[in-house]
Amino acid sequence: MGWSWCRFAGGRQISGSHEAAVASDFRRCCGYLRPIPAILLLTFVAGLPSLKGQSSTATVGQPDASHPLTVVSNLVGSNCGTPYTSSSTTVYTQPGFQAFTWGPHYPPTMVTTGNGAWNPATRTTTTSGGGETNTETDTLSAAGMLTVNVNDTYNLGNGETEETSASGALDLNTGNWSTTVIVNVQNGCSTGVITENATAQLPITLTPSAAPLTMTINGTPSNQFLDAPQGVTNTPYSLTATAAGGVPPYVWSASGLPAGLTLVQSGSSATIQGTPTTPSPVSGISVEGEFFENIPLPTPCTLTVTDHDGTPVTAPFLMVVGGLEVYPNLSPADKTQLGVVGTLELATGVAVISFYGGNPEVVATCAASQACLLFINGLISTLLQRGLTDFSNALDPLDTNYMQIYQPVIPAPATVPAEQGLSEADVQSLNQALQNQAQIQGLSEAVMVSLDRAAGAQQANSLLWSSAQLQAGKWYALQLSGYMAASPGLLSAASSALFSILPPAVLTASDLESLQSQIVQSGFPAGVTVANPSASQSLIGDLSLTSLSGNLSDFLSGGNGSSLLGISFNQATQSAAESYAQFGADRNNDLAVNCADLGVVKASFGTSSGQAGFNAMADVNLDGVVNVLDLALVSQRLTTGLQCH
Amino acid sequence: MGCKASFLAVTAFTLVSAVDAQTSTAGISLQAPSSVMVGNPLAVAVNISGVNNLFAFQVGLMFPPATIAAESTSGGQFLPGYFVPGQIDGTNGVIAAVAGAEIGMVAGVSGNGTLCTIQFMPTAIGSATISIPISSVILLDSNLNEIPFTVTGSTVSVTANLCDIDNAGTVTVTDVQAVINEAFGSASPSNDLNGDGEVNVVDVQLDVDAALGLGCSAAA
Repeated sequence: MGWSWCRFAGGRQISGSHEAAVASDFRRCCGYLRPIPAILLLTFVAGLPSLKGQSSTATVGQPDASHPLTVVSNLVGSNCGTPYTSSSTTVYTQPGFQAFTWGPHYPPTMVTTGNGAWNPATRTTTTSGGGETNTETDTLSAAGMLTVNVNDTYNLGNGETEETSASGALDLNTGNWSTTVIVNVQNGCSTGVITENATAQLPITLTPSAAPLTMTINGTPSNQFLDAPQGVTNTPYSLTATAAGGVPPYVWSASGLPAGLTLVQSGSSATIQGTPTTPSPVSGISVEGEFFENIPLPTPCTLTVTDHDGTPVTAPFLMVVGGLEVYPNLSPADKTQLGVVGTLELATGVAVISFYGGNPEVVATCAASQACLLFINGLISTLLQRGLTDFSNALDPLDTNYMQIYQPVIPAPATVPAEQGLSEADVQSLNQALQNQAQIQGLSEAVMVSLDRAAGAQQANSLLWSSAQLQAGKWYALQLSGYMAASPGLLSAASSALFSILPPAVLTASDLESLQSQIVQSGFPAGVTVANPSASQSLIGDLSLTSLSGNLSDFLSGGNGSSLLGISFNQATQSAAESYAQFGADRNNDLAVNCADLGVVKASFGTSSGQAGFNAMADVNLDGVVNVLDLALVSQRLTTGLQCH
Repeated sequence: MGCKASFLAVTAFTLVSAVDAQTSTAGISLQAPSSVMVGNPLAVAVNISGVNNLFAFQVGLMFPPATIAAESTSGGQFLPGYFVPGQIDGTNGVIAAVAGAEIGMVAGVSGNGTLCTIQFMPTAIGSATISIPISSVILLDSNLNEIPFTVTGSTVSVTANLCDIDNAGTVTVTDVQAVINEAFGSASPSNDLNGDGEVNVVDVQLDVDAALGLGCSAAA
């Protein structure tokens, strides 16, 4: 490793160095000594784990005033029976040491300037000749530790020898460098041992040397790929992903794939392929036993690619196998014409009803169909009359898991006659009610958006689809409601959903911009905006949607008059419900529910909104007062037996 | 041998919560000594009785700040878990938002016991009525439903400190010396602090304790 021995590495004695001084002492003592090898300093390049997600190079600098190299030297010798000792410390603050380079990626290739290529990581070099034998072993670990061991013997003739052993280690992550050199000289009747210990913390500069590893699925960046195209049982399926950047080669893996599908890797690409054999499970939920049944629950899948540096990129997405069958009591004609779609889902154990805006152009048609109108009216009427007062009764079959969670905390808005639609105040009241429900159910946040129907239809679905990419971690409520001011013959639409997203779990303006971008890119008419509550009602006609069984792009590109055939956005499992309830007690947003969350409530205990010391995070049930109910809502979520003070 | 006048006066009063009393109605009451001397610590227990499935409670108290001063609150043994000591407003005589809750999805506790204890320090002679405003009380069962309750307040008579011989308001060495004088016959034995029929070294020690802030624990 370029341990710069003077004899075979260019012969360099450091002028004025401490070693030279000690050697001089020893010469006076013992009469002969070769120059002591200089403690090397290096400049090299190597792949490091320090820059996660990217291959990087590390440059180790030279000593300077801020990074001194300290050498402590001790000499113990005997000049034909006369003891001799010497010791001193020398600090080097100037560069001037031999340098060499590794790079650009390690592993597998390690190149050293002037010393050839190293592969594998450990290299042993033996050199002999001229009475000298030198063996040097250098090892670079994946963790960035460079270790060096050198053994050198030199036959001085006449039975006189000089043996040198040196070892050192350089931590490429910190620049910590230490080495020990021991020189043992037998020169006739004179003997001596020089022990030198050198330490330094050398400057390290990390520089990215490769583009970050990325993945695209079906041409979509993995972080935007939310839902795989739906699979159909007994029908061949294929979904291709491609990796770029990072340090090839790549290794692919997948999890959660429906039965019959496998992952096949080919170079930088991988394909999920096969023939699905089993349809996705269904929720088996209906409202009043007739509206919504057999809604498939998407299967959460992940696709991961890892580059040679060990950097993974994982894409979670949802996949559904099987067709959808909702509204079994509606005729095919009604389904086609229906501009309002409702789904009842088991979102994290809580029944959630979603509606999407209708289409005035189909209203007339729908109005002519009593079944269509009855469906719409009945669905919304059920929501308002039962959903906000005794929603559990609307579930069929009844399930205590859901009933216990749903606890409205404010009076429901007045029942609205089906023919009149909802007023804006009704919508706001609905939102407030749902928000309170979200809170009392233990949600971390509630994202409330009130829109007109035109934007509402889009935004509801866009946000819900978007939420799928955000993974678990925290649970949020998303509620969207539409006000159909221009369509008195059609009831207002409202949608709500519960979903989980990854921290920072807040839908920001950029999130909405992203959704807007998706809408535009999907060919939706200009002017259809996300989070624009004043979107023109005239756009309603353009917002009628096609089947929701596909991905977002398919959904958004639907034509007029198409109907939505239902979708389920969430997986309904008891564990998810428990998790969601659990995290509702995470009052300090640290992704854990523990005594600290009780402390948040305690710190504001007894205060009311507007008072000094009031903290909205402590007001778990959003009633404007921090009291024992808030305390209990959190304490119930803690582990039984936990001691909090 | 004379004694300072001390009297017992306990008045109990009961209020019923807005929730109609039912068979499961719990009773909240205060447990306090009938009288206490100025300078002697006063512990008032907030007890509950006849409660079923109690998971959490919140309670507040009112007290006359001119007579007694609230010093601290502590949780009782009846409801294990997390305790919130609440806020003490010594100026207006209010102790607000003292609370406790069990931890975890556990059943509530049932029966009788002490929810919390309030430590007061009597500061002036008089009658100290301690009450629990109904509006300050919330009892929750393990389903977080409210439990109906009644409350019973208490009145404590704060009497003069027997050890404060010169009625100066505090017990000092002057009071100790006065008892010594009586014990040694150089003064009329009028302060038999322990009520054993004579003034002797025991009475002196009681007054010394009082002067040291340990309270005048003489018998009434």
